[in-house]
Amino acid sequence: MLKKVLIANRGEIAVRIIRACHSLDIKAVAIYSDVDRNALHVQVADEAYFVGDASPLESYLNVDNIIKAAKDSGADAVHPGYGFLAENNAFAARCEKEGLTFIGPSSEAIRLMGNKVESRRLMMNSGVPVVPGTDSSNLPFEDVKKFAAEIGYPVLVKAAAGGGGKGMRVVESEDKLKSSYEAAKREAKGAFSDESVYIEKYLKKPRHIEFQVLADSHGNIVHLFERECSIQRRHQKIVEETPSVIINDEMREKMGKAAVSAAEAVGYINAGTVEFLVDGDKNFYFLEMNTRIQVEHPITELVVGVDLVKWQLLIASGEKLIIKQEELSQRGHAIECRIYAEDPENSFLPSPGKILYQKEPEGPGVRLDNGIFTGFEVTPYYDPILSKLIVWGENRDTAIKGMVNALDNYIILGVKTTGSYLRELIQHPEFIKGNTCTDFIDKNMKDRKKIVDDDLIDLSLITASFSDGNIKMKKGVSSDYETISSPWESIGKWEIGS
Amino acid sequence: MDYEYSLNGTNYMVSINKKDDIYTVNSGEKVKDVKIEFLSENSLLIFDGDKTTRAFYARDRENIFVNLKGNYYELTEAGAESQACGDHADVLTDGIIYPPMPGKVIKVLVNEGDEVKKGEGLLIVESMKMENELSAPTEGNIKKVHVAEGEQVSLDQPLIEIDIPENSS
Repeated sequence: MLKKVLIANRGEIAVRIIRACHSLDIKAVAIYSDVDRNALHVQVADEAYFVGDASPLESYLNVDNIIKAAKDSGADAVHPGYGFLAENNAFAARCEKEGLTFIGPSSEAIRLMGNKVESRRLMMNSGVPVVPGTDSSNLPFEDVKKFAAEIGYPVLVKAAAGGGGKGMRVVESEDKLKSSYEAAKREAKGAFSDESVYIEKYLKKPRHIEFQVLADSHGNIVHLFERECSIQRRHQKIVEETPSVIINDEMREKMGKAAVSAAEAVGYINAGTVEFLVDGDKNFYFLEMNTRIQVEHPITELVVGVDLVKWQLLIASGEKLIIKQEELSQRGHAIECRIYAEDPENSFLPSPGKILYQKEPEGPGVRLDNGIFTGFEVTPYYDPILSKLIVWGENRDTAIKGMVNALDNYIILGVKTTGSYLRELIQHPEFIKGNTCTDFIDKNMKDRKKIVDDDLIDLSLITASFSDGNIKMKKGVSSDYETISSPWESIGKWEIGS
Repeated sequence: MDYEYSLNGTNYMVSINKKDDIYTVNSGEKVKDVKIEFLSENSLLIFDGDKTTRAFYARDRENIFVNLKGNYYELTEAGAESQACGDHADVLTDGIIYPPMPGKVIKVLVNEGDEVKKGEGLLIVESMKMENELSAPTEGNIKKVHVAEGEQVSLDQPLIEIDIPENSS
C-alpha cells in the first residue's frame, strides 16, 4: 500500500485527492506556487513544498522541481490530478524512471491516447468508429486547406495533445482557417508544450457522452456507465449529468463495451474516460480517451456508489479491482455545475479577484468539491475553476430542483461566477426536456432576455445601504441614528439615471 | 440617510429613514417599509411585510457585492467608479484601450500609424490560459502602442491609443 503521495496539482482537485489519501491513511504532500502559499490544498495537506513562481511553467509544470519535492518529502507516488502534467507522458515516464509510482496509466498508454491523431488511428484499427479528420498533425498548411475544403466547413482545428478545449477552434470558412490554425498552435504550445494541431469534421448538434472505466494491473476492467457532458462553452463542459436521457440499456451496453475495448487496446491501467460524440441518429464516434481522473468524476461516484479517486490509489498500490461489472448499476440521477470565476454576461471572461465571502451550500444529496475559502485571492494565472457543486436526486427532476436550491444558498462574493447563470440554465425548458446538445448555450442562452426583477434590485439597494456599517453595527437598532432624522424630515434626492 | 449606487450602468438614489423598528426606504419611485435582522457581518434578513429575504453582502474599497436568493449584484458607490472596470471586452476611454482583465499580451496585431476599421483585431491578451482578441471599438488611426508582446498587463494599464476621426461616431 502507498504510504505518502505527492499531489502535482492545485485547487479543488488537489483537495479532493488529499481527502482520498486521508481516507486510506496515506500521507498527502502538496506543492504550491508563489501565489498559492495559503491555498486550500496547502491548508489540508500534511506537508507542502514550494515549487516556483506563479506562471504554470515555473511551478505546476516544472517537472524538475516537482520531482525534487517528491524525493525530498519521501513520497512513494505522484498523483497528477487533471490538467497540468496529468496527460504528459514524459512526466509519467520521468516518475517511472525516478522510482515514483505515477498514479495513472503507463507513460506509453498516455502517449498513445494523448496524441489525438495516433489514438484515432489505433481506434480505427480496433473497429471503433471515429469522426472523419486528417490522420496526420504535421501536414503543410496547403494540404490542411485542401482537406478542409474536401470534408467541408465548418471544421475543427484541434491540438493533437489537447484537452479541455484548449488549442481548439471552430473554423466556419476558409478565410478564417489560417489565423485560427496559428492561434490554435500558439495555445497548444502554451498549454501542452506541443504545437501539433489537426483538423476534423465539425459535427453539428452532437451530444458529448463519455464512459468511465477502471482497470487494475491484474487484467480486471469495468466500465462505470456514462456521463452526459454536452453543455459546453468554449468547448469546455460546465454542466454534466448521469444517466444520459437519450441512451437506453442496449446502447449503454454497446458503448460501455466499446469503451472497455478502447482501454484494452492500449493496455490501460487505472481510471480513465472514453469520450464519444453521439449524432442525431444515435451513432456514436470515439472522440478521445482522457487518461486521468475527470473534472466531472463525482457524478459517477454518486450514482454508481464507487469512490473513483480512492480506487486510483488502490490500483496504483497494486490492489485487485474487486468490483464486478455485473454488480454495478446506476441509482438515481446526479448533476454537476462547475463554478468558474468568469463573467457569464460578458463572454465568460475570467474574473480574478478576492473572495470576500463564501458560504457553502447544504441540503439532501449536496456535495461540494471546493478549492476556495473566504479571503482567497483568485489570480489570473490558472484555470478559473473555483469549485464543483454536485447534487444527487432520486430522479432527474429531483436532482434539478435540488441543484437550484443548492445554487440559491451557495454564496460567493467578490468575483463574478457562473453560479447564477447555471441556475438559470438548468431551469431552461429545453434543459428540463433533456434537449442538451453541444449547441445548447448558443441556441438557448445567447439571446435570452435577462430577467430584471425590480423587487430584487430594490432589496439589493437596501442591502447595500445597510452594508456600510453606519446603520448596521450599532446593535440592530441605533438610537443615535434615530435622533439624526425622523422619517418625515428627510425626503430623499429623487433622481434616476443621472 | 441618503445613498447613491450604480448597478449595471444605472444610478439609483436610496434614502432610508427609521421609526421604531421600521425602516422606510425610498428607492427609485417606490417606497417600502422593511424590518431588518442583522445575522452576521455578511448577512441580514429583510422582512418586507411577511415576505422574508436573506441577503449576503461584502464590500471592498468601492464595490458592494450582494447575493439575494442566488442572484448576484455588484454595486458601486456613486463617485467611486473606476475607469477601467467597464462591462465590455474593449474599453475605450478617450481613445485608450484597456485590457478587459489582467493577463499577458500574446500578440500585437497593429503598428503605430495604422488605420483600423471598427471590429479589426488590435491585440491578443491571454488570461487564465485562454486567448482573447481585443478589437477596435471604432475606426481610427493607431496613435500609440503602449505594450509589447509577452508583457503582463493590469486592468488600469493603457494598451493602445486610437485617434478617432472627428466625423466618426
